[in-house]
Amino acid sequence: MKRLKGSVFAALVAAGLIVSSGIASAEDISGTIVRTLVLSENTRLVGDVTCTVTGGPCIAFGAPDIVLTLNGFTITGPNDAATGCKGTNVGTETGINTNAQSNVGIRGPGVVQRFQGDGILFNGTVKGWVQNVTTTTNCMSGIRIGPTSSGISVESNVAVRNGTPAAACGGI
Amino acid sequence: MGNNNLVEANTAVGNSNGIVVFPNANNNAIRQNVAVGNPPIQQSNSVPTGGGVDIWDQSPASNNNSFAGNMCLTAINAPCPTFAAQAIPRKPGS
Repeated sequence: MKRLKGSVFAALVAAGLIVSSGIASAEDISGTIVRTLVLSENTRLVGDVTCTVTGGPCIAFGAPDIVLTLNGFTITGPNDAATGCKGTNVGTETGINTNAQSNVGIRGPGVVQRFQGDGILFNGTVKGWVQNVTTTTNCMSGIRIGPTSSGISVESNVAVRNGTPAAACGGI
Repeated sequence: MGNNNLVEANTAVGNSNGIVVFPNANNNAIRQNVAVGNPPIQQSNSVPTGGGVDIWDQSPASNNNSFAGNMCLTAINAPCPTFAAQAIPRKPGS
């Protein structure tokens, strides 16, 4: 009986280790996102992503000290490429929102396009970075550092055709 | 834009504005960026009252936002390099 209890304990410890290692590893994403995807670990795109989320961000950081790697792929929102903004911007509908998480990063190459709000929004974030990302045809800024964010590095990105005449935003 | 941020070596083309520093932003460094053709000519023609520039610093000078080495053609409260208004004609054969 003692030996059996020991085996069960060992099995539980092993299971715990597997779960723990699962948390530490990276997540791969691709395909269609229909409601806000909250990141809790390092994440990379393994294919293009299409977002149909309305009223909120497509991707939001849910933990500090993690990185989203676009890996050369594209995140596309619901905007029409031909008509750009569809008229009015919607601030909540961002492509990627750092969601007040600190020390988070977004690594290109990759494209974030056709969102009704900002392509990438640093919102309430202390320390963060975005590098080598192309933002295009987003209704507000391609990349925006919100007023409550600090220590953000925006480096080597390309912003093309973002913004509307109605709002004082634009590329960066 | 918030405080103590770095915007470096980016390219902004054809946006409603290129790079915007908002009124309450402090101690940001904007350097070595290329911001040209903002807003795009289509927007300038169709919405002539829309405004828009390559670099726009909306903050007061006391906020210590700095601009260095940026390539731009139009700006408000930020420096752009000086370019000749027209090409210098070249003598045939020279």
